[in-house]
Amino acid sequence: MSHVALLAWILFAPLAAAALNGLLALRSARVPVPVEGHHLRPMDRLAAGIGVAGPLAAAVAAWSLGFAFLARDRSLRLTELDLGTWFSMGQAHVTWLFRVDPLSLVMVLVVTTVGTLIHLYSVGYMAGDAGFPRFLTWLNLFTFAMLVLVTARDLVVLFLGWEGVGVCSYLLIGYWFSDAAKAAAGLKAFVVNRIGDLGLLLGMFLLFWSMAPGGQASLDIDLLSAHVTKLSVPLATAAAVLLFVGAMGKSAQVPLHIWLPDAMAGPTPVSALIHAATMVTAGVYMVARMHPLYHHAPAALAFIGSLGALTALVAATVACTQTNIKRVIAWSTVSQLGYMFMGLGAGAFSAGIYHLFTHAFFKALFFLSAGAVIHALHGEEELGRMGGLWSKLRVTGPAFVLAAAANAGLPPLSGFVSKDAILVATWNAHHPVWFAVGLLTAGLTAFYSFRLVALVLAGPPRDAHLAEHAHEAGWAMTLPLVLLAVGAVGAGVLEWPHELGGTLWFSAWLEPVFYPSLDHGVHANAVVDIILTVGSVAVVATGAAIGFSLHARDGASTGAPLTGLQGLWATVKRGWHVDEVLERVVVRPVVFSSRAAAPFLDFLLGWGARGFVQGLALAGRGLAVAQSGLARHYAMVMLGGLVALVAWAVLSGGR
Amino acid sequence: MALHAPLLVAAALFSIGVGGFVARRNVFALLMCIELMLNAVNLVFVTFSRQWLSVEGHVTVLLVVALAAAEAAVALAIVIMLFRHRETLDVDVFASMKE
Repeated sequence: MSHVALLAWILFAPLAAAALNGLLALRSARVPVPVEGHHLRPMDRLAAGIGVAGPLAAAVAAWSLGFAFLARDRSLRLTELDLGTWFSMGQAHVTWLFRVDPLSLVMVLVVTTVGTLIHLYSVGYMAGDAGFPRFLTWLNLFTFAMLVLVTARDLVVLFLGWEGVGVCSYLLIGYWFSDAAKAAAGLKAFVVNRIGDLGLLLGMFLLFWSMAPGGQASLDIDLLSAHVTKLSVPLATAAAVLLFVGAMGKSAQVPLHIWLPDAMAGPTPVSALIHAATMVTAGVYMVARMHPLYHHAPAALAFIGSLGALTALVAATVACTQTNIKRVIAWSTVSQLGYMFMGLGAGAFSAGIYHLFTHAFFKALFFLSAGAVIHALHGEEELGRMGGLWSKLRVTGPAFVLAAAANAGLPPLSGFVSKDAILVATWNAHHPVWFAVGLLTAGLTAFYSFRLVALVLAGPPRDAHLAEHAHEAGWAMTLPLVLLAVGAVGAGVLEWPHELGGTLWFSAWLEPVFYPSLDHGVHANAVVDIILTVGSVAVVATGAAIGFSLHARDGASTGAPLTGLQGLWATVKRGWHVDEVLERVVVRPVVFSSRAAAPFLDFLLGWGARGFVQGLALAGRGLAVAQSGLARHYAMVMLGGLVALVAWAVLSGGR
Repeated sequence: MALHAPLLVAAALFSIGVGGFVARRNVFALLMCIELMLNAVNLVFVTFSRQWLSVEGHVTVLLVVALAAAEAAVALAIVIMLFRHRETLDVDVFASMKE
């Protein structure tokens, strides 16, 4: 198959699956069949087949394209699918142009490969749910929107995918919408993302407007990248920061991170796919995609790195205190996204993207194995009722430990390689503060990862009844765990450090996108690198040991490990009260001013819109009198008209 | 030949037709009024046709006569059907054009 056809398969197989499952969902919504236990109804079996086949076809096509690229010369690794013009207004021409280059292909491979495994997992996890086809419809639709986002060559089309994944995220967080709290969590995610999207839109408008004088008024990413150096630096900085505000919303950076922990209200496969592996990394991808703009605006890059470092540290502290298994992992995701932005801020674009890549595997594994634990305990998510599950869960247990170790960054797992690449990059880019924050965060990450392992798997069960009835899930759930575990362990090979006898294959792969001169030397000095690596491994190992030993003891609590820390612990557990502060500073003033303005607006509408409507209605009723239905009346009117015409003709003298 | 005599007759005929069409309520009376108006126009046509020694007016009159015959045939059929349904010839009863 030609490369263009492969790209078409990648994009439209998930869309077709979403359309078919949508029809099934419409049908199943009309025929509510009572469900008993975790069994698939016949319609659900069909939906499961379609729902997994769509992303699987896309994944096969993506891997074929990847191998085809490998066989080609570096400069030829590019495929474009042109589906014509979307719209053309004045200077704005937007085309349906989809493009796969090495950077896009990394994203496509993550979305389709991890996506397929998570689709398969959700067949086991969601079996027996009344809305099963609806769930798969939205999951498929999400996959399509995400693929549009990562392959679009025009910022407007990228924005379409950006909003598409946002809508699917909203729909899936509030999937169990009869629970008001879950529906509200979906709404919160949507609204917070809108705030970020406003920044993204303004950034796009600013870019379009500022390129117009040079005749390059276009939002085509390649054109923008080629001409971005013509912009003045302050203008480029403003545009870059505005675009990053969009990334802050989507990728949960402080202070727009508040939606992500609440997004855990959605089913666990959704948390794994959307809120860990793919959608939340869209911001990282967008910044990396626009890298020429950010290189032209060093201040914006410094802002990104600083905010990323702050987010990484804050979220890691909060993750240490959570008592809900999914919320620990959610805060961990926020922290890791901060890490990626810190890498981008240091100019190490390939290191940031590489961390995105490995994170997709180990964090998806983390979420899915946590989901298997929740599944085994019949929906229990509180750490206070877990413990002692190691002997019960023979597949999930090791998978969970591997995910935690990769998340912590223990060698030789993938998380170690990518986290280390970012740490070394911050040092080499002369950002010692970021390096220190990164090191501290790495220690905290190891602490909470192994605290979680100890609380879930080790020690005696805190709830003997639940632990006794715990059972391993079926193959549809365990197979994705095993495959993702292989990825979480093996993905490190791609960027294995030189000092340990590896090749930097991943950054070489991305070289055609981020020209090496711009992608700051990740490994500048071998001796420094080794010292930094040994130091970070020591910190990580210490954190892991403390986290595990403090919580694996008999009767270990989920609260503060030391009695003196309880006050601070409570503050951190509430997420440093960011939610409350935003509530006071932003939400309440907005609500208050809306309430105050409401009567005034009502008055205006009453006089304006409603008056206009009533005037039209009145005029209509007046004219309706003329329609008597009597032929004689009509004849009379015609006669009147005729007389008037003749009179006019006569009086005007026939001219 | 003086033009005013036939034209005055035509104007009178047309006025009678219009007045009757507006004032009368019997369907047959309306049809007859239409015939009066048509023939008033016919009279004007032949008058001017003679005046300018042109054949076009004559031809038009033949067309109008044929048309009037066809119209009468269709109209009478409709009137019969209407009468069967409503058992009246009063046009004001047939106000179904209202909405």
